[in-house]
Amino acid sequence: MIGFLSQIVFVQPVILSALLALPVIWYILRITPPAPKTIFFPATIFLKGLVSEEQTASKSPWWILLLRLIIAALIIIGLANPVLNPAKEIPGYGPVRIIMDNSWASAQTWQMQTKTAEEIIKKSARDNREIYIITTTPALGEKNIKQVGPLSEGAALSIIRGMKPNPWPADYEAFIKELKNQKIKKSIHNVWLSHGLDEGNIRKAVKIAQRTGGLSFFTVNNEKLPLLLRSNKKVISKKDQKDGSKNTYIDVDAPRNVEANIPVIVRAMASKNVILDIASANVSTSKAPISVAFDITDDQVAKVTTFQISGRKGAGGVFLLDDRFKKKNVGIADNAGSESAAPLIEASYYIKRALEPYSNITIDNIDKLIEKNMSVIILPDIGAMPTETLNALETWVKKGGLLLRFSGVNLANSVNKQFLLPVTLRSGERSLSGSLSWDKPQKIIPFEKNSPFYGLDIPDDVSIRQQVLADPEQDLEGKIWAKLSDGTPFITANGKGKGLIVLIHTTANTDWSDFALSGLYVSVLKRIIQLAGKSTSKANYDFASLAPLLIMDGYGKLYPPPAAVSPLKAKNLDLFIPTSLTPPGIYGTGQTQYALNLGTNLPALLIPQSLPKSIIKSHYKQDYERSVMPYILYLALALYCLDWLIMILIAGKRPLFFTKKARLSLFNLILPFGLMVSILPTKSYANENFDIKYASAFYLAYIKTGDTELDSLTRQGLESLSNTLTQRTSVEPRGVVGLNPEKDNLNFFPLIYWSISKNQKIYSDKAMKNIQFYLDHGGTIIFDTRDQNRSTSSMTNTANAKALRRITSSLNIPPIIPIPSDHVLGRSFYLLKDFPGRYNSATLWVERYSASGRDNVSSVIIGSNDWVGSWYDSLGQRSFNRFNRSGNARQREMALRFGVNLVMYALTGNYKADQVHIPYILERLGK
Amino acid sequence: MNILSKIDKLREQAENSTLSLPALMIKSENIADNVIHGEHVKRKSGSGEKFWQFREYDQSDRPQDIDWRQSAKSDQIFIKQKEWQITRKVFLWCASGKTMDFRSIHTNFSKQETAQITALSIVLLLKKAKEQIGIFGETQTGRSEETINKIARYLYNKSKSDDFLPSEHNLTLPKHAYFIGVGDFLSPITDIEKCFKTISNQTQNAFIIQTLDPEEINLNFKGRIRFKGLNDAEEIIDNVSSIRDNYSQRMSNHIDAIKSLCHLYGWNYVLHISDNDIENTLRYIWEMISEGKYQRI
Repeated sequence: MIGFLSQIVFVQPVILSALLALPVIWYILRITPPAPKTIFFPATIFLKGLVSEEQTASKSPWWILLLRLIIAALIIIGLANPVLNPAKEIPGYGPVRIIMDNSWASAQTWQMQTKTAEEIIKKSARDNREIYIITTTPALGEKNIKQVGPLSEGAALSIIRGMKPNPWPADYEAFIKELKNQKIKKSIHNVWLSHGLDEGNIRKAVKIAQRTGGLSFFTVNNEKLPLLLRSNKKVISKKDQKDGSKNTYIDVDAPRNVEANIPVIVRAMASKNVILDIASANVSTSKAPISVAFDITDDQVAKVTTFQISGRKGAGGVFLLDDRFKKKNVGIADNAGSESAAPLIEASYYIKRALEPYSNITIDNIDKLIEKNMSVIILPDIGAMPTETLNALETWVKKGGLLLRFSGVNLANSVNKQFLLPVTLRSGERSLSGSLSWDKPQKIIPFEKNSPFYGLDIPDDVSIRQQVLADPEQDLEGKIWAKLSDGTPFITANGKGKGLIVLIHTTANTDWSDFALSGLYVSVLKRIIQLAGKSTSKANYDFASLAPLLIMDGYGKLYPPPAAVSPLKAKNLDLFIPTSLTPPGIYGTGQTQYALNLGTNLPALLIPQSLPKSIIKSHYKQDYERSVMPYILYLALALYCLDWLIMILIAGKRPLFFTKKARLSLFNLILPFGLMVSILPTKSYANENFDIKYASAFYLAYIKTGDTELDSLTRQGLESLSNTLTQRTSVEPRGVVGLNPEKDNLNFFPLIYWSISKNQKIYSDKAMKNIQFYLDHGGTIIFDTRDQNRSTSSMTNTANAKALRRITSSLNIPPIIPIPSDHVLGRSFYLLKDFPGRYNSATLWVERYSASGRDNVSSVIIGSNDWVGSWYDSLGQRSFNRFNRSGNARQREMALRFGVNLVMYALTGNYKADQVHIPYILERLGK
Repeated sequence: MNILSKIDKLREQAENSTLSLPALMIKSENIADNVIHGEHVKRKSGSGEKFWQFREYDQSDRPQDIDWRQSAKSDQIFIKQKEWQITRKVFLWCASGKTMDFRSIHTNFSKQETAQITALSIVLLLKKAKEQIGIFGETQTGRSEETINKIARYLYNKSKSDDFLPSEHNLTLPKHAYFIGVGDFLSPITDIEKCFKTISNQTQNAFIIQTLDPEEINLNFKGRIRFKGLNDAEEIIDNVSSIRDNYSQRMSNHIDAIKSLCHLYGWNYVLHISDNDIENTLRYIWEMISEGKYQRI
């Protein structure tokens, strides 16, 4: 109790001094007794002169007095506005500066941070302290951090509420710069709402902030620390014999210098948020980063676009994949015969080693490679080939293949019959070093902006000793992707048809240069094969800057970039860390896409250590400051009502509400009640339980018509169907739900049964919108007018049909047709020719053209055979309807079968619409 | 509801309470018969009038009174004395006014209603007993239906006006008239003494029926109460329970004083508490009246 009380703090403690007035109130209450009852009494004369011995009754009874004192005390205490779990005291009296950590790592803790910030703002505003807000990351498109303030409470709150975590790392330098720029003379207390990570030199930032006044540092529990997805060396690789079926990997990183075990689930997702696989792991911070492996079939692997840590919002938990991670099928042409001679110095060996991690490599002869439909074919120094093969290869290139050729002795010697080259070659090779040469081995000069290799670092030790030379021609310059220091082309490329031919003017092995031994070799090959499959008819590339295509927000969602986002400089692209100018996301051009991820180059995650001891450290709390005032005033009101009742009883007013006094009292009662209601905090409880319950299992649903008898019939009919489904199929509905479209969320139910009654109540526009939304987003409603025997022609003028028309008049229902004989509904589980319920002749109406997104499932099915009735009948109970049990046992069975088909149809869509069973079906249908 | 229907209702109530008195009627008639006929209780057929006794003719008797048939049986001359030749006249007074309207939560009838029902019941009984009934203050008596209605109307109309004691000005009772007074008699005892003395000058036969509310006897109130009485009399009692015993003492003194007054004048007295059964009281009253008749004649 004491502990509980110590958590209460009064916002207006001055008011509590009114408690001192309680004795006065006591005195006043004591000397004014309650008004005596007045009674006409014939024998009054006999009372004359009689004096009662005791005087107590002239006062109010002591307990009434006590009650009133308690009421008075409660009102005083309530007006002093006590708050539970008050925010920690902010030291000092001067301004308060809130430092919001809003980098990528704060997405997970953002709610706690903002909540705490709001509390601090409210508290500071109560104490009349100025409020400043500063963030640790620059805003999108800005380089500098701006502090705002002094702010009013409202302004500060709206800034905090409008703030969002940013997907880039904190910039402590800019933060310190801004702190130093701000000249606030007063001593300012800083409240650092941290996300729990040290992104660089936090110690320095903290110290500088501390110098302006004090500093409170809020940090998070270890479980809430941010996680980061990092690229694995073999993000996507072939299925490995050793590792069983796993073929896709991603690393999960966690802060190092802390002990915590964080269970994570990582999803591999294709576009449109389709989940391809889920893997779970327990990230022990001591072993981080750990690899998470996925099992995705080979044909699906290429579809993986994103990895995501499930349940954790934030840019750090999202890893985008781009073309680089998609393995190309690369074929290396080689004649098997010469392979075995000296495998380690063969050109194909070098190529294979360079590209193996990034592509699926096949080594075979050219014909076979073309047959296998490779995206890239590499010809290491092949000078000639059969005409047939050449033609096939040319056709393949024209269709969009990428042909990468290396030079060598064979090529240099076959200049007379040049084929499939980007440039015309001069005869013979040019030797740049050697005993007979004056020239020195040439270096590669830095790549120009229109080269796909722009931005790659060129190692110093790469020198080219021999090359093939291109004939100077008019458009030669446009075809050159790389040059040597003397200006001669080193790599040239030219489009052919839809394809591309690239020539590297030296060998794929070390015969002519050191190129094959350098890292550049791998990078260059990687970039070349990335171009495969792109439309490269134009040889003009601008690789200098990659325009933003989609960028990520702080929560890891992609959105089209605003103008403030700068293009990505291709230089040192692979070492680039996202900034406020270039947030993580997808950059690129039409030809190539580059995914900029946080996890690629971010330094190891650390939590702040060795912070100055003089700062006030605290943790975010789960319980937030809560005003107790309304509850105390409520209690006072309740006691007041009690007092009022007691007074009524004492005064002996029998007709409680009809005397004028009683009416006044009633007014007295209602007035404070109304006031209290107005000060109660309003809270809206989301209908989450409903959502969770119905989202987690399959339920059959029906619309409550308001006709109790019909609703009961529908429910029992659906329960009967539900039993049947459970017995016969793998669909096992958890239950049957009656829905009220006015307030229920319909979206969890694939199929809704709507029995039409002529008493059908009219729904509001809101409900109709709800139903329309349901229909538009994949839902199916089956309308059943249940009146087939009363309508001779289809759906004309029965009362129920009118009711149906009334409902549908405000719904946007696509054109409907009588069900075609080959409709899926007739064979989604059972083969059915007709669809009987209690009646069996009415036509079933379905949508004419099903929308594409809904698997050809009709959004409405309209009929009048009263299926629920029949399902209900098959429960074996006597029907309470005026009709007797419908049809015979066979018809009831058929009705159940229709129900099964209906549910299957709603659940599986056009799955059974394929032609697989056609011959069998035809035979069964007797056609 | 007009006055007439109210009167009818009042009469109906009174009749209701007397209708369930057939036994009492028979008994009272029997008593009356016993009183009249002594041992030979034989009813003569066709006579139509009850006779009381045969008596030897006296010179003071009227010759018309001689019963020749009886006289012929013997040498003496008899006269037939009829019962009602000395019928008494009964005069009824009923208190009314504000104090009589009091009704506590313990009873169903106010004192006024109780008094009216009692009075009217007595009237009906008297009518059946063929007494002459009249309203106190008037000289006319009778036992016709019209008279009964008149009395009922009198009782009803009276209930509005204050009349706490039989007024001396109205004292025009014939000799040997029977006076029946119904009321709460809560006036100061000196007033009552004065009033009773005046009545006793007129008649020796009187019946005082005091109707009181149980609350007036017991004073069952609790707490702090402001009591209002007649003439703006007002008493605030802070704690009613503490004075209850004193009050009861005073009240019983008052009742005893009235009783002893009645005793002094040889009158009958009965106290009816309004939560008691009217019938029982009525039976008692009727017995007293019958006895009184027996004794007095």
